Amino acid sequence: MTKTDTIYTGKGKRRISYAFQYLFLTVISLISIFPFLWMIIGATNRSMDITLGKLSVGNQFLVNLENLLNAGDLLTCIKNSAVLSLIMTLLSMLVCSMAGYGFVIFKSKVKEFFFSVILLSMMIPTSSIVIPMFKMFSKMHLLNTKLGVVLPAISTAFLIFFFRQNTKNFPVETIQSARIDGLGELGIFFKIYMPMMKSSYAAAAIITFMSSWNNYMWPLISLQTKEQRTLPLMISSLGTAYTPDYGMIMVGIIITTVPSALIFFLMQKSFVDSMMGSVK
Amino acid sequence: MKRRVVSVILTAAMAAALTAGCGGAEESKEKTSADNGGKKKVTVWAWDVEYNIPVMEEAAKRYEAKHSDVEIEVMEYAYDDITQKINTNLSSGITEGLPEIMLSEDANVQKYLQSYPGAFRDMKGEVEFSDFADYKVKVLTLEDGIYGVPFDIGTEGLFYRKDYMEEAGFSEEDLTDITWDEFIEIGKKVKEVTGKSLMTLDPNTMTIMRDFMQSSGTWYFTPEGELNMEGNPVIEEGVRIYKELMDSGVVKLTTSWGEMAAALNNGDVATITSGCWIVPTITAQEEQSGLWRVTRMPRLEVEGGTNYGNRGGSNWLVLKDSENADIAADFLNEIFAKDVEFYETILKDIGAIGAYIPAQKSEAYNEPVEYFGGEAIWADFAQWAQKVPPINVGVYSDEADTVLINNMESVLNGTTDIPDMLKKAEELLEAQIR
Amino acid sequence: MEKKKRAGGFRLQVNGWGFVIPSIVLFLWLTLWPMIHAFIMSLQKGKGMVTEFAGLENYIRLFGDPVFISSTKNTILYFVIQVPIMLVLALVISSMLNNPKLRFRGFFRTAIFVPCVTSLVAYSLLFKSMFAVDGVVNKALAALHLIQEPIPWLLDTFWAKVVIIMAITWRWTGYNMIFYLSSLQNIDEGIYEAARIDGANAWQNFRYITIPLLKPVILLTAIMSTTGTLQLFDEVVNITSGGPGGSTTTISQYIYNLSFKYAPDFGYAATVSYAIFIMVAVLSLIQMKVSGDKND
Repeated sequence: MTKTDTIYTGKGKRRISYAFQYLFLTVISLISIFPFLWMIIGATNRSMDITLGKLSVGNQFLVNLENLLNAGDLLTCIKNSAVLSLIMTLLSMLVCSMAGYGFVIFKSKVKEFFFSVILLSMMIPTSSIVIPMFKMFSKMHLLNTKLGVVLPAISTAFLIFFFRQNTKNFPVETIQSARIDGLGELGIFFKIYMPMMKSSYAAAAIITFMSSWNNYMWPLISLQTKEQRTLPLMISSLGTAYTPDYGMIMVGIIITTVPSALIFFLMQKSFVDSMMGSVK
Repeated sequence: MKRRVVSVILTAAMAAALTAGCGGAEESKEKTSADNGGKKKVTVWAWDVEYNIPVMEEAAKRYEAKHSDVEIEVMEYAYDDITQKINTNLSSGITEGLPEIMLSEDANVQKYLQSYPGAFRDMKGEVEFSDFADYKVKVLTLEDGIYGVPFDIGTEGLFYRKDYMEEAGFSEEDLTDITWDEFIEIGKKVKEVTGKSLMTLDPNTMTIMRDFMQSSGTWYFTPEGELNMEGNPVIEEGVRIYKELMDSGVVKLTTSWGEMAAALNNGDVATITSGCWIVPTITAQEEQSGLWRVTRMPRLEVEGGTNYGNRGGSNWLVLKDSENADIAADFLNEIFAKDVEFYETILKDIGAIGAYIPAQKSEAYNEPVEYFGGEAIWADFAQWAQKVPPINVGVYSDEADTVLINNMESVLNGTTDIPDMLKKAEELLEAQIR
Repeated sequence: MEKKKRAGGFRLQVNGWGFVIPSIVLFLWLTLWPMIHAFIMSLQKGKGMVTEFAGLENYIRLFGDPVFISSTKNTILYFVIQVPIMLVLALVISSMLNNPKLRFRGFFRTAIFVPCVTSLVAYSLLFKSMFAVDGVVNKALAALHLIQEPIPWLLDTFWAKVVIIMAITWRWTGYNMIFYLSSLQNIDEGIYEAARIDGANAWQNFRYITIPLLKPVILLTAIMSTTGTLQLFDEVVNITSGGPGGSTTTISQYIYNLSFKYAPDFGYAATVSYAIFIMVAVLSLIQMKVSGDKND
């Protein structure tokens, strides 16, 4: 069942176990990847073929792409989304990993209390705090600005929680010896903790980028002009129609999906190699 | 090495954050300066990049040509997104960011008008409303005011496959001005002969019930806003027909637009009763050109039952507190309530049928449509639109839909009879809306 | 000496706060404050801007509201059945993929992760057509002689729930896998080495080393999935629209309907939000206690 199964038992059993694992993983992979492939095929077909369930590659990709380019200012939206999600990802990872680290390494009753309150906030649906937020941001003149979109996304309960949980297995002795070596607290965090937690940062980067890139509700409510519009808002606007053009929508969706998939592809190596290349 | 990478990333993050901060401030400044200098800006929120958006862009082009000091920006959003944005904006009591004009579907206008009194501009006296179909004006009327300008109509028709019908032995005459009972009988014959279903039906919506009510001049509520389900003969008959349709085995159940469109394009169904905006969905299947025809929809056999209904269609509302509301009102009046040529253009180029009656005499409406056997279908729809019974839909129609959907099962499986179900539904609805 | 130590302790405390203060401030300002406002909203009734103070009336209304009760039941059912299935699946997959001897790991990892970046619009379109009465799923099952009659997946109250559970599991298993994989990487191989020398078998390794060491992350994913499931919205809206007959409606969908689909009743919507909030908070508290602070 698990990886160690295969290593420590007899040869015959080992082969069966491997065969089972490959079969299992292959089936799951195919099921997982099928809708993604279907989406790519869809982007090359006419809308009608998509609803009719056509499964072969068509020749409509360029037509669909052209329709998409005519439907809105795609480049501006991509640029806005890229800038916003990059800033959100970096800032939020920095602020939340510091907090997660702080909550574990400098544990105290008061901090635990604050952490619990932050964790609780994860459980309130965003839609219910949107109206008060809208009022607040209007007073601060932050509606329709990038700063206004970024601010609420920096300190997220989930990411703080993530780093807190991952810090729990962090060897405290390392920190103590660094203190003896005369390294300051920030130094320890940046020079020891961060490199050692590489695989956690990689996972966090993927998750945070994905959620920033797909961030929907607050940008929708707070952004007002075409110049500020993000990609998910634009793609969503294509969906409501008396006769929706699914071919065009599929192309839009692929453009929306590629960056997240790419980040995953680039980052995934870090959770595999981190032990071997670990900095110590 | 690794440490350096980390610190580079961090520095970059800080720099980026700072830039974002400054950028933010600059952007908001930019916006105000653009407003003060140059042109007066009118923002429009609408959905449907294939239909409403190009229509509005055409209207904007025409107005801007005559008024060089005005710039009209059409913002395309998803339907649900507009709902969220406008509700948040209005209920927080903040006027910043309100568009001058928004599109609203017939069924939702009253919800906005009554939930946000004073938010929309009364256009009575500004616009000649007698030029629009009666039922469309009714949609915009609250007490003494008329809030907004009607845009397109969703006049319903019975679209059918002529080839299937002929195979089963039915002519246009057999399908015109019939009742739903007669229609179901035809469906049984069609199924028997061709093996095709009569129509699609989505059990997760009450669209068909709304069709029944609209075409019979009644609704879930009385014009005064009182509940009108229990003992309403139209709804009782509607539920009976609904059950009949389900039991007859002639409907293909679908749960989405995609499945419905596939059923049409695949030739799985012989008819569809829908608003005239369904035409592009049907004509997407070029192979079926010439096979489709359209006639008036079936009626309920009740007092006031007609063969004229409406589904969908929308209106332009002006936000009273928006910056350039006056210009917006003038724009709507000048184009949507006066410009016949504009209506001809949008019909020819986009297939949009306006509710503006004077436009309907124009050439464009009387063009034969090849796909439908060379019939002048647009003129038909425009003419039928004037016979749609005006009704008052009130504000709680979606709540009523939900209650009916959730209780329909008890009628379908025969555990409850129709009057009892409606009584229970009305009680539940009462509790919901207090 | 003593003085110096105390000073060090003080410095440590100050620094400790320095690490957490930015996020606490942002949180109090941008989340807690609006949450308090939302609570005040929940004490009001009426539609749109036509509202009046109602005290606890909305909270009392919850208990007699059949839609709230049925959507709560649906939501809890998803939670009870789906979360364990998904987490166990993710755990099994990630411990398989953590084996350096397994080939094509990169492919498997990417493939299994792909669903959570696949657009909801695309996959719900596909799911609906696959699970249609005359869709491929029924055709495949019939070809395998597993069923006689086609299953009305999206039209039957039981099967519609099954489809929703399958859809969520499909989409989020790979997402949870990432957390396990990254955390497994932080475990020192040496521990397994030592266990091997002591004669531990695979199951014992998994049970007594992997699971305890992953415990903080398992707790993280459990609470996250609880939150996610109790706030479930997208899948239901896009695949079943809450139907048939309201049998798949979730609380989040109800909140959305109250705010934006029905006559806008933000007061009651906020009340329902607080109801979710309390439920999730209690469940998470239980999970934290059950998972044990042993490891803390």
